[in-house]
Amino acid sequence: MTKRLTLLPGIALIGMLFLIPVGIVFQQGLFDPVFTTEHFVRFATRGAYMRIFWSTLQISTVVALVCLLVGYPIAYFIVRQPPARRPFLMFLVLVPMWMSILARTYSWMVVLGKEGIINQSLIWLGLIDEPIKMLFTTGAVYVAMVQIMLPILIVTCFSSMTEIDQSLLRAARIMGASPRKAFREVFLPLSAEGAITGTLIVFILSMGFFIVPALLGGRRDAMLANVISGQVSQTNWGFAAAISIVLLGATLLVLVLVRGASAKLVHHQEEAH
Amino acid sequence: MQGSRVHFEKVTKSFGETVALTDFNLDIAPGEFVTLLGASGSGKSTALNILAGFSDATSGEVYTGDRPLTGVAPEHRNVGMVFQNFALFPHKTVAENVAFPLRMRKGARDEIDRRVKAALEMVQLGAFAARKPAALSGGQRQRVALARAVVFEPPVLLMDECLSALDLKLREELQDEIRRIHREIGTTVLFVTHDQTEALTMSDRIAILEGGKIVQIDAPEVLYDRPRTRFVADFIGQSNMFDLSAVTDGTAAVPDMGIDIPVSDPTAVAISIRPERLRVIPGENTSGLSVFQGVVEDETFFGPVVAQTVRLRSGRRLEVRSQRSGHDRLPHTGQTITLAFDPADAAPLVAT
Repeated sequence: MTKRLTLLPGIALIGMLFLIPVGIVFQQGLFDPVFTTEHFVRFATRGAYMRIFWSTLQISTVVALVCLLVGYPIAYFIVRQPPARRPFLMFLVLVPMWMSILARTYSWMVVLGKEGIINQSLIWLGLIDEPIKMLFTTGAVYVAMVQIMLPILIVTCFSSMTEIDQSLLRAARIMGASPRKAFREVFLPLSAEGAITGTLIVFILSMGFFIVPALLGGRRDAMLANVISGQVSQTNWGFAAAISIVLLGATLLVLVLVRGASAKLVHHQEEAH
Repeated sequence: MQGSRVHFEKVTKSFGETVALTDFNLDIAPGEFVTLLGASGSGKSTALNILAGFSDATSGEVYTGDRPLTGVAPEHRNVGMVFQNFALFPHKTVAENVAFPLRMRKGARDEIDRRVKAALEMVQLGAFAARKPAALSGGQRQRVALARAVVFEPPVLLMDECLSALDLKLREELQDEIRRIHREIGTTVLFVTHDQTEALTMSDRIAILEGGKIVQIDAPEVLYDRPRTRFVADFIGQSNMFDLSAVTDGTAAVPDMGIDIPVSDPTAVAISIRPERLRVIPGENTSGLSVFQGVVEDETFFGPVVAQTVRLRSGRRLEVRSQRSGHDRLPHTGQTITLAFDPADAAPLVAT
């Protein structure tokens, strides 16, 4: 009983700061003032909104997968280092996270801009005559989002990798597994959980990204969060709420699907032996 | 299955400044059960890791059979190993764990199934094939690790302190089981432990390691009866050690006892007498024995055995263990007693 009592402040906090606001969002999106699906119909039937919806999904998926492909090997590399060297390497990974996303996004403008470091260097080297357009492109959005999200994935992978007993890999080797086989049979399955979790976290955070597409993307690179912000500033509360609900629903759906698929995959792998 | 010979030839290993093994020589006969016994840091695990291929010798060579192992990856050494923490794959079932070395060797599916079944039967875990390691007790995990290490019939089996994580009763059971399996499969075993009882009960021969060197390697009873140095006498069992005067004409004085005894080894500087080899004698019939006196200071009752601490005239104390057989009453604390031992039971110790 006392155990449950100590949970009360937490429950109260979640209720006030999370459940009630989300409830209000649902109420705003679905009642105007009586029950209506008008906002959702508008969202689904206007091509522009659906296009932004799909590109938001696409950008988030690509960013999450690129982070996985880049971050997993980095985490693996760090875990393979002598334990005394790991904290310093993790420190290097984490340093960017101490700066605000806004500051990092502006830094990318300095790097990618017409007068930016990359263009200046390329012109100075004589490789190009005219500055290449990098800022305000989809590519800029991808690059900056991956850079911002990467530490999150590395940390998640790293912590699940450090929990893998190194003697398991030795055991695999002495039983006849090549280093590659030992990795595939032992390390990969045991670190998959952490890698999938990290990828999902990056995906979820990307779905709500706002600053990077607004500052680094072109006119057509807006994401759902940018549309929501636009609708709010036009005081279209109902429509903004409806888009928020779509965003939330889509994110949850992907979460459930990936979790289900990964559980099946792990299970299947075991059955196959 | 045929065990193969294992041969360490002048192996040294240093980690930077620290020397873990120096001039390590060990020749293990096919099918022999040899234990490396030593305190932590004595180099026993280093020797094992070099044989397994997890670390390279700084110099020297290791052979299994006639095959030199330098440059051979662990997966090509055909050596079985039971790890200290068992190292079972947590994401695989018991049967999948045991099948792993066979799968790596690309055996046929039904052949793998048959051998996994046989290996699990051998360790009496046939009913647990579908479980995950997390659902097993410590002793069962140990058995799975053992089955996994021998299922591919390796000619050499390494065991790294693999019983130390278990409680005493389980440890004794598994010692019996490991010996039985060793007899059944006939593989050469190199066992590493810091537990002398484990070493004494299981091994054909025991190598005592100190500071990266083998200080003595012998059969358990030889090691117990004839330790060569103070370190060995002290490490294996309990011992009373006494300094000797210089040995002349096969005789030396034991100043603490005030007697002369015959000593076979002219280089001996001390003797070691096991507590149970000392006899408390009431009568005068002491022909052929070395006799001296002391006062009983303390005693500990063990049931069939009584251990007594006896103070000699020189002030030195020694331990005596007596069987309480027959009806003779043992002298008690404060009494002066006569002690005797057969000089043949005094192992001459050389300086190290």
